[in-house]
Amino acid sequence: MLLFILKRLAIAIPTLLVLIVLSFFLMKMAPGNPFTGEKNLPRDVLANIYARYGLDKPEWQQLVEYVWNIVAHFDFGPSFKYKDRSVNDIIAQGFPVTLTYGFWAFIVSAVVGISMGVIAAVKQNSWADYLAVGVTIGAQVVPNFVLAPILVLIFTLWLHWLPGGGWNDGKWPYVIMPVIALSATYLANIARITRSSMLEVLHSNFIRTARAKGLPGYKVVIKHALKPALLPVVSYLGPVFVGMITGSVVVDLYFSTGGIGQWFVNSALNRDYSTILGVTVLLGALTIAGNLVVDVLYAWIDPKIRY
Amino acid sequence: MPLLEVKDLSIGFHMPGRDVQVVNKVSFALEQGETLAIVGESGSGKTQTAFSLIGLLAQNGFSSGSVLFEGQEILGLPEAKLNKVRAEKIAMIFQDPMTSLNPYIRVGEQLVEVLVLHKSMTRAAAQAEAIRMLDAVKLPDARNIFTRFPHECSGGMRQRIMIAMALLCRPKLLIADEPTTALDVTVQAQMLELFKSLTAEFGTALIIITHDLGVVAGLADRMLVMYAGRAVETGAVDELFYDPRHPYTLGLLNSTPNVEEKTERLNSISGSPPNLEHLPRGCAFHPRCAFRFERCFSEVPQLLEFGEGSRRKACHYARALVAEESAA
Repeated sequence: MLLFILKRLAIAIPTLLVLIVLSFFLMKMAPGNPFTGEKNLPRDVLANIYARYGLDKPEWQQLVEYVWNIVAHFDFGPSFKYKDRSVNDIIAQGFPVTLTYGFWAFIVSAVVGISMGVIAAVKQNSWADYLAVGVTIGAQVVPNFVLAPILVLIFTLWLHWLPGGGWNDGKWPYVIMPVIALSATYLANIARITRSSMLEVLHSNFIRTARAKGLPGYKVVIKHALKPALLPVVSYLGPVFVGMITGSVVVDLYFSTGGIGQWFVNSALNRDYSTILGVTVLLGALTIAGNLVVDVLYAWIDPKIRY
Repeated sequence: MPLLEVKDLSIGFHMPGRDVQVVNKVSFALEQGETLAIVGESGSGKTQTAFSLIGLLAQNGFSSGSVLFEGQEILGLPEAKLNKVRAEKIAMIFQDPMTSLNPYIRVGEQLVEVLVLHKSMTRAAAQAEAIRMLDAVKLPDARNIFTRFPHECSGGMRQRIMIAMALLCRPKLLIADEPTTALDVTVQAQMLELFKSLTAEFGTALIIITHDLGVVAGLADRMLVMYAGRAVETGAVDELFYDPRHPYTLGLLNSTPNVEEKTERLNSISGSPPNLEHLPRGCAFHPRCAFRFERCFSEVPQLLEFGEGSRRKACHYARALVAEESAA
């Protein structure tokens, strides 16, 4: 197992390199650069700026220097758009925010989603099941850019319970609505995956054996059915966790949380080369880590899987 | 009082828009330590009959009639009380040993939990008892198997584990649903030996559900033949084998290959089992029966006693079949 993890970590390094190279050239293929705008700058001013950011060098050299700075100094370079900040600053500022609300959104959607799915499956065709299915369909069809303003309307404008935006160092009233807006769809997906996989497990032969042993219903579910029913859920949770802690543009925009999600989109629109690459590398590294955790969890749940 | 008394047991399932009846007024009784074989083709209702004896019908199933076990009514018993009967008094072994054990839990724990639950044993005591039982079903190196996961055991080993699990609480009645069907022929024979010796050792009554008459001959005292959800003939195994009185029983016997005769083709009962939703009028077997006459087309035969002893059949045809057949 330890060997498996080490191997996977070793593979992660070339994977990230490939990711950087591909993103770098994709980015360069896009027309324009960070300094093309509506106003055309004088030639020698542009040349000065290019020299300042190293854009006058051949592209392969830019790439090599970029990678070298990451490897040697863990420096993702200066932002091309915000002159006073480096990409490291942007990530250091935005990532803790998304990590906070993303983490809570993950906990909420996993705990509530799995519980709802299990209850709906165990009480199939009861009112609890219909309610759970109804709520999850609702949460699935309402996108978060619709849900977010509705939340603001209800909790801020009508009830005056929660602040309509801002972050305020992550004090809990500021975290609640971003968490709800981010978790709703994922929660619904998790509930539905759990429900259908639990239903399948409950109809399997070994559950009949467990019932024939005279085990009480809750024990049959928790001890015999839960583990196998969670396998498909776990494989879904990995990417969900990464998606959540890297934030969401919608949440960052509606609630002015200042998370990394909004930087990701803004940097692409601004062709802010170094920020695009920095955020992409962060996302890539987290995805690799998330998948590794899922694989390890799989082996822990299913004894038939051994690495 | 017999150990188990089943009276007019009917079972059906709610399907979308309709109900389907799969078992129709089946009655039988079982004495302490006795072995009864329930025989019939797929879809004859034998497995559902067995499931209803410990309340394991599917959610959309319903049953009527009466199942008395040691005088206690099992049908309609609430789940909490059923759980006191299951495994402790009536245990069950299922057809497919490959999927009947939980693949995510070690073999040992699956045995131990039964003893902890029903006998309130400490885990240490339960562990010792479980290993003793694995030894009793003649598993080599029981200690090692105790720590394995099911997928690390062969099919025959798993069925032995299932038997050990079923016998842990020394139940009065063991129900085995096609326990040898999924196993190799050589393993089948060992398994039958095991059933024989264990039921004798523990004084357990056994209901064995099968379509294999070889199993019946080797194991059972009495047999109950089912067709299309009804009991069609019952009696001592010897008598039914030598003098079957229902044409379906005769057909089953004839379709069992005989070592002493050399045949090109295996005998079979012509036609196919009926659709339970559209049973033929009269006797359900009449479209496949060589002995049918007018009465069979309109009147459902009842399971009635005949001759001496405890033999019963549900057939309008009055005479012995074996002599008739060889004369023809």
